Amino acid sequence: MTWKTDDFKEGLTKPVLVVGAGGIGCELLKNLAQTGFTKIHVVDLDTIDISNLNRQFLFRKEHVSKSKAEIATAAVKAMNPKIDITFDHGSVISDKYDINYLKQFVVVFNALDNFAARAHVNRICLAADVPLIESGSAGYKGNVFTIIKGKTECFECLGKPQQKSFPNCTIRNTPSEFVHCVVWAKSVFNQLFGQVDPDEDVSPSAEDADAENKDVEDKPEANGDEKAVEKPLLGKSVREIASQSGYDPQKVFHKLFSDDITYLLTMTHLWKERRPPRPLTWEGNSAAGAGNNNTVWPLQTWEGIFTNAVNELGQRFAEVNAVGNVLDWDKDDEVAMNFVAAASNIRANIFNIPMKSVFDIKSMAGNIIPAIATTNAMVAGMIVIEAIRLLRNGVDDLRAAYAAGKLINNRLISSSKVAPPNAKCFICGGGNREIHIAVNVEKMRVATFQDVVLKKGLSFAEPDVVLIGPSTIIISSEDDVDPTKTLHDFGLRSSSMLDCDDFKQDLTVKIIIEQDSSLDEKQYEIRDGAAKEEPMEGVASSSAPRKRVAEAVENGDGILSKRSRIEAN
Amino acid sequence: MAPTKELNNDEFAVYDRQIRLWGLEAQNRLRNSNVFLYGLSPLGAEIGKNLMLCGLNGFTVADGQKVVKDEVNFMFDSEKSEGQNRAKAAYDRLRVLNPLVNLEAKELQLIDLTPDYLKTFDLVILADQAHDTILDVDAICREHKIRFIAGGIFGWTGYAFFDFDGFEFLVPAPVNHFVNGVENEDDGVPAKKAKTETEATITLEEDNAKIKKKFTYPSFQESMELDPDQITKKIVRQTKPGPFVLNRTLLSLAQLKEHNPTVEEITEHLETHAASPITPLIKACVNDDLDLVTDPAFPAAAAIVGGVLSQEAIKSLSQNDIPYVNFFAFNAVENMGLMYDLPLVKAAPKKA
Repeated sequence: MTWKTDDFKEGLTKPVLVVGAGGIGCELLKNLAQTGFTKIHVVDLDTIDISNLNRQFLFRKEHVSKSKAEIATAAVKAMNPKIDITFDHGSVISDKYDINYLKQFVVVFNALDNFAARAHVNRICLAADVPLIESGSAGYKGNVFTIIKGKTECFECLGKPQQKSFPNCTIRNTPSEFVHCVVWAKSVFNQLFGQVDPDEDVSPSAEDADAENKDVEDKPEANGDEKAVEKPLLGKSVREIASQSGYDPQKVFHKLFSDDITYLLTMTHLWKERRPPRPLTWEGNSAAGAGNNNTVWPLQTWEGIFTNAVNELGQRFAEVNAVGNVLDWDKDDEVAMNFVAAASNIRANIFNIPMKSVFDIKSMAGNIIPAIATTNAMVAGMIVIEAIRLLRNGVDDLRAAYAAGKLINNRLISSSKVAPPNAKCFICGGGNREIHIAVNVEKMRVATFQDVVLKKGLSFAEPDVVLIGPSTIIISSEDDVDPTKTLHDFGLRSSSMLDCDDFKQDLTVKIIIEQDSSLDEKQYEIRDGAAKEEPMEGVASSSAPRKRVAEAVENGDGILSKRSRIEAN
Repeated sequence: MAPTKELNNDEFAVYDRQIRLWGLEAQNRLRNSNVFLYGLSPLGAEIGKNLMLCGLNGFTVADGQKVVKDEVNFMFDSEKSEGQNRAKAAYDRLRVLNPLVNLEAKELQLIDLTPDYLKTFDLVILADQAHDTILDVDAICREHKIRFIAGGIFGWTGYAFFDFDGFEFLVPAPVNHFVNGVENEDDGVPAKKAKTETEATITLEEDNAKIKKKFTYPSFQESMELDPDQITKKIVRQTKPGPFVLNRTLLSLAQLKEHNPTVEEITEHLETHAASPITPLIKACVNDDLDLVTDPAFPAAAAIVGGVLSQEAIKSLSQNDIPYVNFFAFNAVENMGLMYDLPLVKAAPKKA
């Protein structure tokens, strides 16, 4: 059967689902329409932003803030009025996209920008037994692979990429790279204007009674006897100082950049091998002259920008706080971005780290993955090729395709046979869906277990959890959990087994709890057999079930990738 | 030379995600570049889209052919535009992709592609043109120091040829690590954390340091030279020449027949050359289904070749990063795209 015969064309008239109408989605919809696919449904919850226009070619300036799914659908219709294309401006993690609904599609295309949605679609497609073509791009790199239940690796077979994180003590006490100052500044934003979260405190760390235990990276500094001397010196939190002074920028500045730094200097052991920071005094500088976001201003200008940002955010906070709300940091909110840029530059300057422009800081603070039209065009081309391969040849001739952004064995676009399922995968690996999770049952609350471990960490949508044995209901997707109760209060101990059931994902996983008293109330580790042999330190660096070469990214248009074999070819 | 233009805030907002990838300097070079594209085929449509989006100063598209009714091309509605010049028909859909670019659409015949005209551009691109046209225009561009690219699609396969002979690129400097922190060693503590500001700065700059480098490209004529008898097993193993010889054969057959070859024409050619070592390479590429490399262009192949071709165009105009020398061939049957340093068989072994 070749590609121009009637039965081939007939195959293209069956319904397909496109999840995501962004960078890859726009190119994919164009390709599908050109290739002869005639029945397409597209879902995307996002709206169009000006920074999309360099690549999401179905959108124009006048479409900014409109629904991506809607505008893309209209554009494809204009391209080819004969196509039956429909859309939803909504989330694929909604009740509509259940297993039954999915069964109508011959193939689902993921063109997403975040792990959670990818993992969810992966699970519902496995449950519905519908082929899923997963794709992603980041900068010059991109990849595509097909997921078929029981035949291939699923999206989660290689585990979840870990987000890069930094030791707490580096952020609080001894920043040495610019990014440490950015992480600090974002936390300060939350301390000042957001939900107060003691876990996010970024003031000098000896205030924290447990600092010594946590700061594994800085063992030489973490000795107990200094705490007693230093603790009384630190005084009020920045939030207290700010709210008591009506968000007076001078007071906030003084606390962050003078008092706290002076306090840090009293921990003399920190500065034996480092250049000590220099406390700054507030001089009432103005931001006059600041304009272009691509420029690194002198310190005085950043101080002025800081002052303006604290004034404005303080006012905004007062307004929303009056009705019981707080501010959320958003990289696209200019004032909030300026606050983080100014605060991180001032801190960087104090710690002898070269300052950066707002533009550069936005990349770090907003975790922006660069994205270009050409890579997305290639990825969307590779997707259609794999879709056609699937429709023409069935499931025995599937390939994973990559654009590596460089030549590997003379190849710029490469592909290899898809890998079989990972028998240890807790999502698709045989009948044995189980996962070992280490937590501190005495400290971790059930609410944290639900939000941080099950939803954020393991990508469950609406988990119901029952303790196997006594059959105690730990979490019900229909009720709120008691926010005060710890896992221990519910009878969880080491080796406790939980049945975690997600109706939405048609997925039941057995969770085996491993008690680890060295962990904090929000920390957890995913462990497998190998992990027991080489114990891992700290939540940040752990829980990689298999070694990964390429680092995974979550935003922009892409993953990239998990699938790292290409690097080794 | 036109006066240098700098990006304004509007442009900054639109190009944000790519400036984060290739930098402001590269974006400014694109902003000062003028490109000519001849051929609004499906591949030409992909190139047109990609280059409109990237943010050139000027972009001129031209074609001598008219829109055919059942032509599949997302840059125009082939029913409504039937009989219209292809470049002119594409104007409206190209225009809206980026109002910041000076776009022109022209009806031009091959004879109009004179040195004097082509000299007004920084880069000339031919999409889906005949072998001998590529040969002629490449010769003009080499003589007049104009960047040149040609690309084409035959069903599921396609190619891109690059000629940036003698043009400068900024490439990463060889990494040169300074030995730091030897001074504070008297107490046996290495001074790794006591880096001075100067040292830290040097390290940062080192990571991003670029040097200017020119690259030598062979002409199209030199690149296509191939004596089938010289294709040894070793060359097959090292260069994986399938997609290249496939495209080379299709280009020369198309020249001969004055249209992209049909299954019968390719079959006849392969039968005549059954003894050639090229023939089995071609057959292997298409799994013996020659229909796969006949018209119309497979849109996915156009998207991929168009993406690679446009990215090299951007790289060359922005002088950013190491360019590929010099021929890309893509085969959708295996979902593989290879880069060849042509000619495939070097006349005399070159010293690296």
